[in-house]
Amino acid sequence: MFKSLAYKEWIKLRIYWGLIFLAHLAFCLFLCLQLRRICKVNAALSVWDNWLFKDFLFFRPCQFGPLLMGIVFAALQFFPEILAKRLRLVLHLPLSEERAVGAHLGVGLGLLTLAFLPGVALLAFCASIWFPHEFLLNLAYIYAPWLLGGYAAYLFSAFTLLEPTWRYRVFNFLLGASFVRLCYFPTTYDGYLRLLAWLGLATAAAVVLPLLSANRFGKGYGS
Amino acid sequence: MPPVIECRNLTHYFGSKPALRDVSWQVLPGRICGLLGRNGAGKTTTINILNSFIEPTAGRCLLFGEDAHRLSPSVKARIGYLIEGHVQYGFFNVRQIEKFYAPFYPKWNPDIYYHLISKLDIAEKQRVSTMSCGQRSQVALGLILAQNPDLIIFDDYSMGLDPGYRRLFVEVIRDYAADRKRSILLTSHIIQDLEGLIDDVIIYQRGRVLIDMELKDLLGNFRKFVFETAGDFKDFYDEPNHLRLERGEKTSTLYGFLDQTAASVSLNQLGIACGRGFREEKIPLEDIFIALTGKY
Repeated sequence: MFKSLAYKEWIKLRIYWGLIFLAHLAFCLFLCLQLRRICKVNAALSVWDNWLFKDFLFFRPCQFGPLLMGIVFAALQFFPEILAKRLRLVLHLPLSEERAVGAHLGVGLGLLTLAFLPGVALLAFCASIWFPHEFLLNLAYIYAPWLLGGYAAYLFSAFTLLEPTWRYRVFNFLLGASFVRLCYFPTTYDGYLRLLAWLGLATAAAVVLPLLSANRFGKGYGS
Repeated sequence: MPPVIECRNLTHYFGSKPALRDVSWQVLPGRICGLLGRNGAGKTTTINILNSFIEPTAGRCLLFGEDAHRLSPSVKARIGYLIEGHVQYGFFNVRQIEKFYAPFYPKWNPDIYYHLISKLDIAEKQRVSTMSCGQRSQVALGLILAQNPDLIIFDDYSMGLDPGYRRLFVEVIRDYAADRKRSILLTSHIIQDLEGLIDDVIIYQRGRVLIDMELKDLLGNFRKFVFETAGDFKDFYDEPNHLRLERGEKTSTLYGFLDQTAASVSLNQLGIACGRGFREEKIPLEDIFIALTGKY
């Protein structure tokens, strides 16, 4: 049954997912080419210097990429479900509500990961050509909260979209915006190191929120 | 045999506005039941409660003996549900949507679906979103029938359908239920289509059950008497006794569960002379519905 739901989500999202995947990959490739040009012209040392002492990150333009992707992806996935209350079709399927909605979230998070990773891997690979290992690790520490912000944006957008009443939608949106803000404090070297695990756990826990909204939808709130 | 659907003292409020008030009825196995009522009478609220999309303020609904809000997946697999407006996934084409639903239902029969689809002028790769309302209704119906469900709930199946598609819909339902092994609950505002289709009729009025009986009893016992208007009297309606008097310019009409003698007595009690042209006229289901629920 998960396979069937995954099939449905794939048919619904494949074109959009392909576009998001390509756009993210193209953007990361552009950053890599920029980095290559700077390293060739000014030498990698100047990039390190800017990174360490002036807090200038060559990949900072990527900062809001995951966030944007998370929001857009959740909208593309769940907007068709709430239009004409199509979610009723899913909730009527012979499986539990939690499994049905959970499968949707699983597919969404999986596709989002598949859209994120190649671009991130490309950036990491390019960075590994010019920078030492500890800089790569630092890159990961800086990038991880942004990535978590993307997942959180996806989950909180789903939480907001599936919610059947406007009052709670506004509340959910504000809650989501506050949470996502936590992932976007100005980055300093290892600034998120101690927070990262907690942020990861909190983002993982946010998976239950869209299930709550779906449950409220199922109970007919706002009808 | 235990009922397939049982509503017990169902009450529901939207805020302070009552939508259903102490509603109780049941559908027995093998029966086709029409749930009728005017707009806002509470039909869709009931259907939404039955499908667990609304939790009632009080009372409960049982489907195959299970609470509608805690249906097990195995019972859900026995219930086909057509959402008002024939809502389906627009991004699927005809083949994809069948492939999606098939694994969920153990008794899935694709032949039923493709047989119905073959009657329509649609390509296999045509997306549901590009179909007409009538075509989409047949896709939705085919998907429900292919489940081989023991109970089907049609919420306003006739919405947006032209007479041809309505006729096709009714014929398919009738053929499907001919073996008397499956139960159907349906709502529709096109009452005349239901006359040769349903076995039982439930009529709602302002969130209450006004009528709950076999259709043949309703058609056989509810009568219309016409007489020439004479004297001064006003329209009259006695809801508990289902008695309605309508004054016309030239002819007036009395409706109710009455024979000719009882009709004369009723008119006499109302102080109305009915001597001239007093006669019984045939009354179809739609007119019975209007007589019971009113025009306005």
